[in-house]
Amino acid sequence: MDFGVLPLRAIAFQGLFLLLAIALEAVILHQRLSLDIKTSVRYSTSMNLFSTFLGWIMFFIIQPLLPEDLRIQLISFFFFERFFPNLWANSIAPSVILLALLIFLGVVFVELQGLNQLERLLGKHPQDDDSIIKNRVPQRFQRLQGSSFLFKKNDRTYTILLANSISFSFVLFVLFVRWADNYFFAR
Amino acid sequence: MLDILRNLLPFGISWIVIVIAIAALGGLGYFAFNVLAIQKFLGEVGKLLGELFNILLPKKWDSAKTLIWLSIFSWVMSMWVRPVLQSAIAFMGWIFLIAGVHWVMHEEKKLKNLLTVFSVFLGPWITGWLICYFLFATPDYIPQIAFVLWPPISAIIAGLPRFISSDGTYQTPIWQLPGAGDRQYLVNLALLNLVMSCWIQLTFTTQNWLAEYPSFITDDLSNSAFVVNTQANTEIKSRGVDILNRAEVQLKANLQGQSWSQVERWLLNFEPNLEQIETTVLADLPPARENSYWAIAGRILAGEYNVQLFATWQGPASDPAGYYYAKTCQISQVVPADVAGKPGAIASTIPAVGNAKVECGPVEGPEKGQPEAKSAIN
Repeated sequence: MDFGVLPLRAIAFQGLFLLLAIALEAVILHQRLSLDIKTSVRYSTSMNLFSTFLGWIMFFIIQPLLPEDLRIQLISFFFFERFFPNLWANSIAPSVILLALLIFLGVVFVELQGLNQLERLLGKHPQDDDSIIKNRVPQRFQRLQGSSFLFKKNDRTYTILLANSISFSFVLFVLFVRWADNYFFAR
Repeated sequence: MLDILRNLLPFGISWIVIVIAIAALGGLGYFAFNVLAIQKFLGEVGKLLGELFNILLPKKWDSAKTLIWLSIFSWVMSMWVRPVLQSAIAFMGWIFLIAGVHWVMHEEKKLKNLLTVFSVFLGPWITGWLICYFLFATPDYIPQIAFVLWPPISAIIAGLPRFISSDGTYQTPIWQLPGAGDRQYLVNLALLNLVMSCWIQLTFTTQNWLAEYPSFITDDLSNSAFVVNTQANTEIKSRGVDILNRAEVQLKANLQGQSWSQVERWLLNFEPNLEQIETTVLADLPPARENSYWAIAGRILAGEYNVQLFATWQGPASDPAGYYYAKTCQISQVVPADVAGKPGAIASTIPAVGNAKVECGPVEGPEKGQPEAKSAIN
């Protein structure tokens, strides 16, 4: 096998995005789940690596099963960063948007489950802490405690959702900068 | 004395023997003269060998070097015996080597410091690679799985010490459940190595895609956000070149040596005949998914007769318009000079005077766009 073409850019971009996401999500975890900085960085590292790994596994399972017309779009984007005009060409933009949304929701779900499993593995019982806080605070102060009327302050689902929104937005911003750089300063 | 020698040996050789004896005596004298210098030299060599042995030989029997010597010993022994026993001894040799290399990286402090980068000890990944090689590789082929499993196996080796503690009374190793901090470390270690595994798998997926679409490598990949072409200027030819060379063979098979009227009839029916050539050429190509994205087109240029053949790429490309390769072939009548000019040529390769001969130029390209759009004369 000849290793002339290597996916080094993909690895570099993924490393960069992982660092960005870990840093941003660690800040959110630290602020919202009253964890110390070291723990929140470690939790955030575990969650992001876990979702990345599951994402790759999904990719490697689905990729060979795609219909050939769709797979050629994927390959075309992978090698040339452009889609290929065939019968999927018109539906590619909505598909990408839908796929991005699904990935976002999937990552939020996986990271939430990952965080729960991680704390169970580390012998911590976050649910208990949550219920203690709930019980200790009198009913009438609960609305003051909450930062929003839908979610409690220590709500993990809301925290993970928020953390991922911020990190995904930042990654999108970096991708946008890259696109703008290619588009306006084309060689 | 010379007489005795002369009696013992046949005449002629005795003189040579005497000359050699004198030369040897002289050399011995020279040696005796330089004996001090040689002694010094030998002393230096001895010191060097002593230092070498000091590095190579184990100081006590329970040492990493013992294991490495055992593996070398097994390797030497395995060369002497029959295949079944050979593989058994080689197997033991590998076990000794893996254990020895893993040990020596911990035993030698200098080596350990050398292998520690940003306070991460890289030793387990070396041992992990040896294990993967031992498990999966054959002498001439390292399968994909050896690379993909390399990070997880290394992570297991790196994480294993956290599961082992020492028995207080007997100083024997026992299993233990790692503490909470260690468990967090192990989770991140395992996940990081699994993600690295995925990156290695992505490398192989890239190779598989390139095997299905081999002409991508000749295109410009610099726009990609995923891949880098590390050998951008290699001599790999696009499949388009191959297709045109095969089309040339087909064209010659159709026209070479035909009578001129047959050639003109063939050219009148150019489009269907070209489709015939396209079908034959694409069917004969080495199989790859990209074959279905190649098409052969052609046109008859002005003049008597110039045929231009195109291999057009209609698949994904760095340029949205695609690209094509071109080859121009000249079909002309054989003149008497052609036959006379090649005295050594075999008669059958040269058509008779008045019949057609086909001569093709080199493949040109790749040109951007599609050939039909550019055709001015048709």
